Amino acid sequence: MATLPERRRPGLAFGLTLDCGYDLLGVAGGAPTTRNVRLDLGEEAAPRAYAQRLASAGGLSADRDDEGYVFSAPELGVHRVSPAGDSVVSAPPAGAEADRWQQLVTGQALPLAAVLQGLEPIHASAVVGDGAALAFTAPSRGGKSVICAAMVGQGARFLTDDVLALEAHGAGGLLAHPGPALATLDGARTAVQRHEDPVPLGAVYVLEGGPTDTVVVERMPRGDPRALLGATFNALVTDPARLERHLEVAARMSACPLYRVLLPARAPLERKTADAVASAVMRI
Amino acid sequence: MAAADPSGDILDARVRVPSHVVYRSFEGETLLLNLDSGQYHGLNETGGRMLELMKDDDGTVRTAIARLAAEYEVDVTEIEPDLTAFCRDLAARGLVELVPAGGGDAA
Repeated sequence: MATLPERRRPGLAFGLTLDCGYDLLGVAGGAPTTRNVRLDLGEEAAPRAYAQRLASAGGLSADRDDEGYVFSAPELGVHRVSPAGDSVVSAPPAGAEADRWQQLVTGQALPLAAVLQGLEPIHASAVVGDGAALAFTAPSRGGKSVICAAMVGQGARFLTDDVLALEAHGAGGLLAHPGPALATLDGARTAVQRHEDPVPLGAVYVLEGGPTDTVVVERMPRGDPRALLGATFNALVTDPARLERHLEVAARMSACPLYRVLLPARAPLERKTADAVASAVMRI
Repeated sequence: MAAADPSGDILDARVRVPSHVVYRSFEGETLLLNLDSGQYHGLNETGGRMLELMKDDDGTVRTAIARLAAEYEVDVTEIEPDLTAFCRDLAARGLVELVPAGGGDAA
């Protein structure tokens, strides 16, 4: 009997053109780029050693072996990224919901693939306003996602949640690439409409909890190089070319308008506070 | 043969940044990265400017110090000891190579 041709699904995320052998949530659309990644399902992603580790592991593991990089976590499966970042093979747990196990694909494997293909992901969420990316950086659960949702509510367009892929562009600028059209809101991954094209990085907003009852947005005279370097989303790849690129991107970020956003130190961030931040940012 | 004056050796040396060292300027600070070790080193504004002058001037450490003194409107003698020690420290960390006057191997 003839074999039906495999149905491939095109997609875009983090500056990567995706060729998916399964339905990867949130990546459909976007114009092709010069960086390609093939995504497939396959048990070869999960050699026995990793499968055994999953049985006893408590959280996310990231490893490097002769065949590339492996991310694994209980209930989220095993995901292998090729050394060149042009292939991701996933072995999700049987019966796992797609929006659960795919978090490791879009949240770890693809950002690593972006690094391996010459991009620099940072830990930030971003929206597009006046044709430029406005990036919000903060530790996990620091309010990035809810502030970006508030920005969208006030007219900005969603660009990415949690991971922002940057690329040196022109003499001293940075290009910000769209991420998956998914945002984590109220603890749930939610489909959103995203801006589909890369845009220049316009400004960076550093979110901090502080001794304040009101939102304060203030221009920072300079960016702390160590903080900018520390905003990287990936510390696995440390070859000289990547280190130099990382330094270059941090230097270019320091030349962008940088703002400190002081937030009332209440977790989780209240929607009214996020709206106040959005209003202040939109006025700048 | 009289022992060489270490300070004089450095003052008359030219500075070369080796290929395994890259650096970028941030406002108020310059970060150097040793690509071989993965270690970062920070220079303040004066140190960063001194590095630029030594690298771009194609002159000696002595001429770079003279230019910096002119920029800061101070006498050379006020800054020469500190900047000589600075250059010696950069070389000791493998971040620059000091090429003796007349060319040849790095100091």
